[in-house]
Amino acid sequence: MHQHLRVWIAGFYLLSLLPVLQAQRTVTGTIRDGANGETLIGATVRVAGTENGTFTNAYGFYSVDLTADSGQLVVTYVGFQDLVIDIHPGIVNPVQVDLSSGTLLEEVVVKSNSFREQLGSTQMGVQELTMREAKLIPVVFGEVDIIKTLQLKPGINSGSEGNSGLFVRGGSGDQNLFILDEAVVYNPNHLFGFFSTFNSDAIKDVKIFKGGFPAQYGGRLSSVIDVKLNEGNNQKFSGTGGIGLISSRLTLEAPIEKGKSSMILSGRRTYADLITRSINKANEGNESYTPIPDYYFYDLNAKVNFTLSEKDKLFVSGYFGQDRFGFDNENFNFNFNWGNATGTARWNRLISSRLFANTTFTYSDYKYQISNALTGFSFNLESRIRDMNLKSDFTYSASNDHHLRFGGEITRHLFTVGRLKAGSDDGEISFSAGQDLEAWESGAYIQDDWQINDRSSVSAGLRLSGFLQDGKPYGAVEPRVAYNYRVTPLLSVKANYARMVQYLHLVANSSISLPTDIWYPSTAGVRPQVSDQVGVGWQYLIGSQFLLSNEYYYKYLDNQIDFKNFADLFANDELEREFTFGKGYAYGTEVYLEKKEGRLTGWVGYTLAFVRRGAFDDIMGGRYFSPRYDRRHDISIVTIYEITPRLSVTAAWIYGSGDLSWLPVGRLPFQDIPGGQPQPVVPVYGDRNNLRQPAYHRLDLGMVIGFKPKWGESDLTISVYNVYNRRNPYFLYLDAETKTNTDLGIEEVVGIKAKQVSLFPILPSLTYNFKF
Amino acid sequence: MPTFWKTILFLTILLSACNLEKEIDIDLPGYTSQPVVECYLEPGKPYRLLLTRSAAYFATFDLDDPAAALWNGATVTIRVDGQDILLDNQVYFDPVTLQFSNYGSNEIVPEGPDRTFQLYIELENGLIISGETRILPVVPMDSLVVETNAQNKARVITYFTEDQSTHNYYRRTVNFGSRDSVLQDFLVDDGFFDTPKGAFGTGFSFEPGDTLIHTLVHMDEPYFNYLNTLLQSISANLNPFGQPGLIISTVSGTANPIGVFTGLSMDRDTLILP
Repeated sequence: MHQHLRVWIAGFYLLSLLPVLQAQRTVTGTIRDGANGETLIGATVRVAGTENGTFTNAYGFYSVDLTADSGQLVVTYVGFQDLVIDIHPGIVNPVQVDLSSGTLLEEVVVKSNSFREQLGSTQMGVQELTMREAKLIPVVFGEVDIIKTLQLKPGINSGSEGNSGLFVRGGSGDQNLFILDEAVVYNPNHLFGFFSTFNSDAIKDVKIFKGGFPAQYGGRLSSVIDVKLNEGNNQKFSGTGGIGLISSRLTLEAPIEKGKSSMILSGRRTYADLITRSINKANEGNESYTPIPDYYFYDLNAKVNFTLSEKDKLFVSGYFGQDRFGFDNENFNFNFNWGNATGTARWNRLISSRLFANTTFTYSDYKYQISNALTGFSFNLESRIRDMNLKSDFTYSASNDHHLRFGGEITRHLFTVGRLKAGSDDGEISFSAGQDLEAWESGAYIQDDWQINDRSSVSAGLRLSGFLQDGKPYGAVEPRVAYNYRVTPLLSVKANYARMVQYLHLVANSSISLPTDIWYPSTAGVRPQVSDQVGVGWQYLIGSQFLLSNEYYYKYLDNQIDFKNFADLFANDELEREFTFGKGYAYGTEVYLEKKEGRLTGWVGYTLAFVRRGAFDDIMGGRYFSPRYDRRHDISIVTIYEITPRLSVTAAWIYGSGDLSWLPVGRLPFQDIPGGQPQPVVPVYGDRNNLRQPAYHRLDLGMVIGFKPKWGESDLTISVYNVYNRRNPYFLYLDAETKTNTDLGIEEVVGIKAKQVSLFPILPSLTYNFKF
Repeated sequence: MPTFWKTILFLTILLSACNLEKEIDIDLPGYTSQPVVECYLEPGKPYRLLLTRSAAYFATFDLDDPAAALWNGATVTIRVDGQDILLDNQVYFDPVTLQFSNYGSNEIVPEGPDRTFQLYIELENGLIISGETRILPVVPMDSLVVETNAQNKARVITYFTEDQSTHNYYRRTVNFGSRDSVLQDFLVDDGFFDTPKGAFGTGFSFEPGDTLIHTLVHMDEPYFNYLNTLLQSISANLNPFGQPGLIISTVSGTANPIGVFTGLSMDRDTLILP
């Protein structure tokens, strides 16, 4: 019986491919922004007078079938003027289409589906971010930060104030895959997570997948953040930049061969160190002055692309970012440096009018290094992960109703874990520790996006993944399926399921992103993490301008990693002996009302979420507990109002239930040995995360005033973070008040108080941006 | 690392200056008091033991009755060489070391790494605390080397030699001027030692005439774990990057105790800088 059913389904599926045979002509090509040659992702290409059509893929490529030898195509993209193309028998592929922006003064809008297209899409659990939103929404110190803006979307939790960490749908901070131009970024943070590594001037498109993962993605359980860099203006030399309180940035773009090839170079650097060096210099000779250590970070992005032929395009891009902390004097030399480097070489090939190939080689390197030299002695600690990845992705447009994606990849991972080298310069005294590990990871996938009929569509895919470390193999089958049913033209219901497998694990003992967090592979003793997520939801179009979405999800997590009591993660030859393994689950609902067009845009988001972890042999006897980021309610209201084309105001209000803290429940006195350090109050901890912090909320306001100088455009961005100066909790601690007993010469405790430390009071900032 | 964390501390103080710290009211979960043992067996010294009780974090402090924190009324026995030594329940105070105890005996702790000491405490409510330890051999400091920089500031490097055939743990403290002023306090696991020679150093912070008391304690693993987890518990309360945990005691029993019962093997030397 079951066999008959399978045969029937296979037959039905093959019949659905029949339109391929009926097509008279296939038109293919790329859609670009006519002003600078940037390819447009998610532009709509529709056969005039019908609902048949397609979208451009992540590389701007489209393929659409006409039932006759000639006809008309309608190309639309939000922020650009619609374009109707006459297709006549003489036109040959590829048909390149350049769109004109709707309004010259408008910020370049990078946006995918319109609301109606979203209603028809199987995709759930995905959030997109326009660079316009990222640049207009105020953030701390006026630094545009795509990760912090993504945190305003439902289902995405920041972990703590000002942090660029992401805790998506109950997943932990290491379960997010950050991809920059196809290369994995292992630590996407600067300065303990207060800033992300992504320079918004160089970014073209950002998507975050929270569920319903397409089969092409794998390797992390909870989210995929796919960031694509601009390709560079192939029409004329241009630039953008800005001067802010914390950093300045500059991006230059130019054609190498007009209309065919281009380059972009983008940089950002903070300059607090220049001020602190001046202060240190002014205090030279002052014995009571303690010099301030140097700290700065910088990012560099570069990309070139070449059109090799009408069907071949080559892209080479790179990212290099570093944080540098240093303190030097004649007896003491301390340096703490960390950063990412990535490189991507990508070849796009239009193999036929239906088949598009993208082959990529990426290199990714994250390293932190601590070095300390004292006269005659030195100390070095280093951890590092390096990836070399080769992959090929294919898009095959079997018909307007069937779009197949398939491909494969292989990655070599090299790990240096806690490599310690210390001792005397003469070699008489020496200490060392650390591990070097190697692993191979592979994946192959196929997925079909199938428009079954006018009302129904399904995306069904399968990913096969494998991992090999020191002879220990792991493999997994990861099914992915998403279904959409259009109940009415204004209402659709959706459902999806995805299994994800994660072979690399972040060794981090804090909910705050630290540069010393390191990655560790699955080994014979460390099994891959697994998640199964199901989601259901609906979307309703209110009028033509508001889209209301509601999603429910449940996520089951297996082989979750935590750390034993006071695990030593810093320099340890047998790190995995500090691991303990358990399970988890998360569920919740997200409501999202969005308005994307008109003078008033923005969104209202609400999340109700629950997450629990447990069954860890070494934690609380296996009982379940809430992780720190188990935030019950999250609300965000974000509005952007364009008063005139040159004047916009923004407001964002955020509310979140307090995160959890693990505070001591008891205390004991400790006398210590003679000559030791007596402690009148030693905290005694009980169950994990036993106290919910006060709620978090704040209001941010911003204003962007545009100017039109002769040489281009500029604006002044004024923002105020935390307008009503709310003292939000960053962390809590318990403080013992003591006084000295002069008779006995000992410290006596006279009282205990709970203290809350906040990070950011009201913070006004000013940024000047320019574009030419 | 110290400079790095000093910067974090500096930033924390800076934030405090912006009035970003405030007192709040919180309700902690309930807590049941536990007995707390501290007993260091030092060869050649009499037996002393401090038995106190832990308290809920916000429990009030009765300054008029500091003895309220002491746990009296227990029967404390230490068994060594087949002999049971009963410790009297009375307050002992050493004005030189500033050490308190509420159980003690005039019997002297014998030397010898091969001896096993067993602690047995029966509380007045019948609950039991037990522990076992040995006294490790003293690892002597080979030398204290004074080096002076161009500004005539001095540092002291403590050299010692360890037995690489065994896994060892050390605590090194430097007291400035007197024993109650601790300048440095390091815990070290010798698992990373490539050479038998080890060293601890101070910064160039001292001037001629300064008095420094150097101590090298040779610890066993249970004592190391106890002290390490206890210090990390203190640190985790004040450090936003810290991860709290449970103190790993060297004693156990039906009384659910916290504490340490260990031998104390230490070499101590006082140096007045030339």
